[in-house]
Amino acid sequence: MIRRTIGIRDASVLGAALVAVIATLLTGSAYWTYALTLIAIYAIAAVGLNVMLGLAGQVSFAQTTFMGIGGYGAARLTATLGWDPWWGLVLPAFGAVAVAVLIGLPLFRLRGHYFAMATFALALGTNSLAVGAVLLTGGSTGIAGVPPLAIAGLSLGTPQGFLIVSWIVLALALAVFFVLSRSHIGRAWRALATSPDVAVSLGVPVLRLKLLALIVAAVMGSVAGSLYAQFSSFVAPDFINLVMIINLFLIVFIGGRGMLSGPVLGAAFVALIPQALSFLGEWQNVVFFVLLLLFMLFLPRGALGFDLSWLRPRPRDSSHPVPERTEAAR
Amino acid sequence: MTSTTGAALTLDKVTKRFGGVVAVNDVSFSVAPGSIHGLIGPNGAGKSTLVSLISGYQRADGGTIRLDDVAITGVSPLRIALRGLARTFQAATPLQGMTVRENVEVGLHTTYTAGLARTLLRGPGVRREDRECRAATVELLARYGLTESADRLAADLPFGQLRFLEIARAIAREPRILLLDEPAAGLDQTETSALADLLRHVNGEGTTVLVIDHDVPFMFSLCHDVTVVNFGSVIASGVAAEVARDPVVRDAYLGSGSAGEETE
Amino acid sequence: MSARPATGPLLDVERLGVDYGRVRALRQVSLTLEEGEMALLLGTNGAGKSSFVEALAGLVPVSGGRVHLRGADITSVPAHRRVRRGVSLVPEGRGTLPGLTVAENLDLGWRAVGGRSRGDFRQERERILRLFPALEKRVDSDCSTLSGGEMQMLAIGRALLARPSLLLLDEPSLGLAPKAIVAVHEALRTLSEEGLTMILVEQKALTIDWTPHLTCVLRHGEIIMQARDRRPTSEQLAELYLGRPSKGTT
Repeated sequence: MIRRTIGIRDASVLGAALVAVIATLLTGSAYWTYALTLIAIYAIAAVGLNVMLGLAGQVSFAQTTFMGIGGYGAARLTATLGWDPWWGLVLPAFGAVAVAVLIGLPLFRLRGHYFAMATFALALGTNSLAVGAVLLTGGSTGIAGVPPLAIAGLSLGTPQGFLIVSWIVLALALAVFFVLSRSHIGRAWRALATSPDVAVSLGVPVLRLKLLALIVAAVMGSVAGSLYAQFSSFVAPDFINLVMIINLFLIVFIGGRGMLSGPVLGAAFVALIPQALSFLGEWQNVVFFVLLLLFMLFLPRGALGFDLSWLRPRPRDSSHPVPERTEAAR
Repeated sequence: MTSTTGAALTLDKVTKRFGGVVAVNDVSFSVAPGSIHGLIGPNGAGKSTLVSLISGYQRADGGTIRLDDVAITGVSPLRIALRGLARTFQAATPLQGMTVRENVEVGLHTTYTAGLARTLLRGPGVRREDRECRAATVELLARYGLTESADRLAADLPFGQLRFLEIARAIAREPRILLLDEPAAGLDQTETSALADLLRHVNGEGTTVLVIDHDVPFMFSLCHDVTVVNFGSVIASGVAAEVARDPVVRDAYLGSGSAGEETE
Repeated sequence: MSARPATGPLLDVERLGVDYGRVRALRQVSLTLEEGEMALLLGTNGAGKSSFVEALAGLVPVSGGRVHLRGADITSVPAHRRVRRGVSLVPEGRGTLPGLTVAENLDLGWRAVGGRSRGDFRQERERILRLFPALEKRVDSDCSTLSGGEMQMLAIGRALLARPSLLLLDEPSLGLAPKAIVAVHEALRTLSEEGLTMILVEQKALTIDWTPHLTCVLRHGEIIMQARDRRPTSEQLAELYLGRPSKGTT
């Protein structure tokens, strides 16, 4: 996660993405319009996860819960209550923030992996809730008839409209990520990712910062969920199942944890590669799993960020590298 | 850099047990404001535990610890840090994936007032705070000889410089008292000398310094006052020169000879 | 791995270095010990004394330098094989196993080296119990009921069963009552007189009332004083350990 080298990689990926979007708008390819919109929506949710995982170093499975709040919230507000679709985009985010605070406050105080485990349980529970709470969520059939956004009466519900809106929102999300990662908040996040104890000794309010990261993730997750609902014009429990959360993790790892363009690259990968691998049938998932492992082990900076630092000569302070030994062993 | 008023630290009958073992036994001593105080002892455990207790990472089973006149026993480490106590850790921890400059900038986190909204909006307020942070960092890096390595990854620094970075990071926000946990461990004679000079300078700016270390000559030449802890209890405390001559201290370190002394 | 002439030193340590991660515990320490000599290694906590003997025993990885035993380079020989080559360490804190009797602990020490008959074992055991008469009385007691001094003797006895050519002892007097320290040191002097080469690490320098063949003082991972066949005076030791009292600091 070296700030200096991000420039080239991020610029290339985002540049390529921009070119792809423009080209698609010009050529009017239906497939690419659809694919790129979906990529943008996944990427927005992944940017949220990237803040938690890539910046603050916190493992959180709560993204699908936030997406669920965004999606079902938008659906109920617009399809059921008939409110303006913009409310459907904005209001559920507040709900997501409230949930973030509710789970973060008690859970972030616990040491170890409790937060991760609790959010995993939350992810499973959210899925069950989506299926079971028929009155709230429409059960397995879901809610249909979710209207798209409109500006001054002009509906943005066309494929091109969705493409433009989703990429504008993605650009906003990336701008937020960019500004935060370079700010004192971003530095404090990265500090607590290494060592909360050291961060605390410097006066960094670790608990508050973890909550802040979760809140940012919640807003992005919720917005992604709302857009998804409007794009598909209906919501069903499927869109927040385990596969979705696993995909989000894949996106963040394959794209490059902590990198600005990571979610974009990763989303493109996750959305497009299955097509390429579809000939493998059931083996798709196994291949995916292996890919994830490989990325985590050998390419911590994602698909285009080979970690070649082990080739760089280490500064010689006349010592040979030795395996780590804990202080207790002294 | 503006001068700070050093804080006073008082320990009063502090005790800490781990299961059946008493690591810290009824320890009492005072650190005078603005002084350099050393904590030494022939064995390991008691001193490290004291550092954890003072900085709030562990809770004492008995006794009181006061920072100036405020009791900090049982207070969270974050609150103690915000009261003006800074510390370093035995294991020098460079913040991963961050440059030397960024490490120091994290030390200045408390100087920022901007929250999430103001940070995102990039208004004049937060931009000014960024400029001030940047300027303070440049000055600190220069003082600690880290200017050339400023944009290298902190993890790539040679060990001696890493120790200095840790101190720079800890005192960036001008704390009133600095607690150092074995800062000389792993340093050679030259580096230890430079460390002593550095700590004298930090103290000269007004910060009270409490050092824990095993290198006794280093401690006696650096500190105004020294407290000696043996098996968790204080066996001597006072002006360095006197403690150095105290036969009880000598005995704790060297044992008592039963035979007469042989000449060379 | 060149063979040295039989009159070469038993132990030749060349610029040994030990790092624990980034922390340099031992820097380029060199030392030579002839067969039958006793070396005394002094210094305060954190000086690198334990690191030195642990490195000789093969328990910690070495970051630089070489260790030669009777001319053979044993630097990369793993710990368990070093025991068989004749290097035996009595660790700090003794390492005796509670729940087992004195006899069983000794038995374990014997099995660690393996390959010799029970008859030999009985002989060795007798020799050790003669060296440590206090142990003889407690031979069937659970070793957790032993006093500090008795436990230390057991630990040394167990190390001796390996018939070492080089015995390393890490602060055997730690936590022992003065009488026990005297008893242990006496036993060690006897062993030294019988020709066993040993390195004795101690912090409390003044408890040694005889003159070892070699005395070294460690500080910051370096040898700051080395003397052959003479003892440093208490003043010299006080200065090495505690430094010269500062002149007017406040």
